[in-house]
Amino acid sequence: MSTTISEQAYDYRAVRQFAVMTVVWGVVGMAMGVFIASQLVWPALNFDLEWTSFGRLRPLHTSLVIFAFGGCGLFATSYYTVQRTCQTRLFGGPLIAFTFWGWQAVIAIMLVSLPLGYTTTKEYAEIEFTGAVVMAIVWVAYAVVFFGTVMKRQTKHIYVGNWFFGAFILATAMLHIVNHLSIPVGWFKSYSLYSGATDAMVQWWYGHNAVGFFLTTGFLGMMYYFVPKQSGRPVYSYRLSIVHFWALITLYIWAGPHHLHYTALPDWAQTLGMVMSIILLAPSWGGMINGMMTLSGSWHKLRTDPILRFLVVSLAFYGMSTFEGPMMAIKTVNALSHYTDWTIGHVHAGALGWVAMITFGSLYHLIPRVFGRAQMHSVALINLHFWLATIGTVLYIASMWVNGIMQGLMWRATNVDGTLTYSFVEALEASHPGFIVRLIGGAFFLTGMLLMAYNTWRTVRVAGPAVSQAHAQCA
Amino acid sequence: MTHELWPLACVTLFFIAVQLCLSGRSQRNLDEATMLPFADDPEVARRMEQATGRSRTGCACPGTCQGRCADWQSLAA
Repeated sequence: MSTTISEQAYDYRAVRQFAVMTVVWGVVGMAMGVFIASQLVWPALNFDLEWTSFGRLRPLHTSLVIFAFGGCGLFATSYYTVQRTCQTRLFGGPLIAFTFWGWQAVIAIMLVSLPLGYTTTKEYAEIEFTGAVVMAIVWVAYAVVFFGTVMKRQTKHIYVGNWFFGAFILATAMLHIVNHLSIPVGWFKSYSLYSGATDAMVQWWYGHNAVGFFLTTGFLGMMYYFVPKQSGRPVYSYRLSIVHFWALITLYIWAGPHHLHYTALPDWAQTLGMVMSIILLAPSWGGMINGMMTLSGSWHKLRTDPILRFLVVSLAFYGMSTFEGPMMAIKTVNALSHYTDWTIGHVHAGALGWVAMITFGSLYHLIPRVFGRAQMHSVALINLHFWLATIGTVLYIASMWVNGIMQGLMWRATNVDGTLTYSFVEALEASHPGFIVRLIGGAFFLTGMLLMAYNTWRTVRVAGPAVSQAHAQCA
Repeated sequence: MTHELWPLACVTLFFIAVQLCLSGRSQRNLDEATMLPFADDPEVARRMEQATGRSRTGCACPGTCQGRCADWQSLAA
């Protein structure tokens, strides 16, 4: 393997663009989340308009944070990581710019079409036919750029982080295309090729693996590069990372049916989903432990390095939510938790605690480097962001746990004569304090995101193009 | 019957994939791959070598490493 320092410049243009847009879409998507959380506290904020109703803005919030914020973060970090670990420039020439502008176009389509009510009604796959086709084309271009870069690498090995990025790209393409197979009747109206229980199964095969491959595998690719870099320690066990990779790939794809417990789905499929979900705990924790143990000997850095704190706390939340997920997949637990706010809390433990925090840590590491700065404009602001994000996440998930368990217990409570003890509205009224705490938690998290936007702007503003170009020479 | 075969297929795929990736790989090979994030960043690599005693080049040389692998074979012998 060539380990000499090569002199070729890396292609950071798309990395810079995606990094900045990650921050921009993070602000927009999380602000949308805070707004719809406030609608649940004060329903008048729906304004009696269909475009601003919770039903239309909630899919927009999820699409923005997953595909706009998370997606741009994954593009930025994968383009950065694959170049540096392959010691070569990005492959693809104009395709690279196409992936950036194409992805922004997909997000623009979501921004317009979802509030207008154009939706497939499939969770996390709401974007209608034309948008889905554009998304697939951009994704294929992304795959060409990424795998083209891997193929022209100057190194003997493909670093394990790139394995995770590669699997995320391939699996997401497969999931998106299969779930979106439909018969179009207009530019923005189509009907699914599947029906009934099959349609539900395909949707949750997609839905769960959107979490598994888009929001987990891709971000594990980030983890395997940025945790070692920021801690200044090589990954704890490369063997474990390989076992982690294959175990995750083998198991995740089967876990989808746990979203359909006690439905028309055949019982064997529900049980298969439950069993696979429980087994999934092993590779998830294997990866989490591998990440945590990478810090062996450098734990003291947590005192002074808020970026490392983001990365470590994200791993802690990853461990927590990947323990909670398999527990919730057990049918008897699911009988209590399903359709309640517990699910929302679980999703946000992963989304805020894992996905967003690992992204923040990675971007705080990456942004100064691609903009030719020694560090971010203000380390103190990163620290403040860290505490706002952590407190916000804890408030959010704790309130949803309390709400969820309370709702589940209230819904199943019966009187001696067999009638329901509580009406649905009584459970809703009892949930109101939890909605307020959730809104406060979300506001904390959004405030941290705004600080990051300010910090990024101050960092980027002073970095001249010449400095950036000079720094792009293999740092 | 086919339902029960799916988990078996998963375990088989997992076993074969891990074997293909790890069997026949020397420790030096794995160390090389482990060190890839540091291979193009001399400043971080230098700090890592000083702190861990492991070479950025993945030579797995014993003792405190200075990042030179020229004498790896004699040290490992």
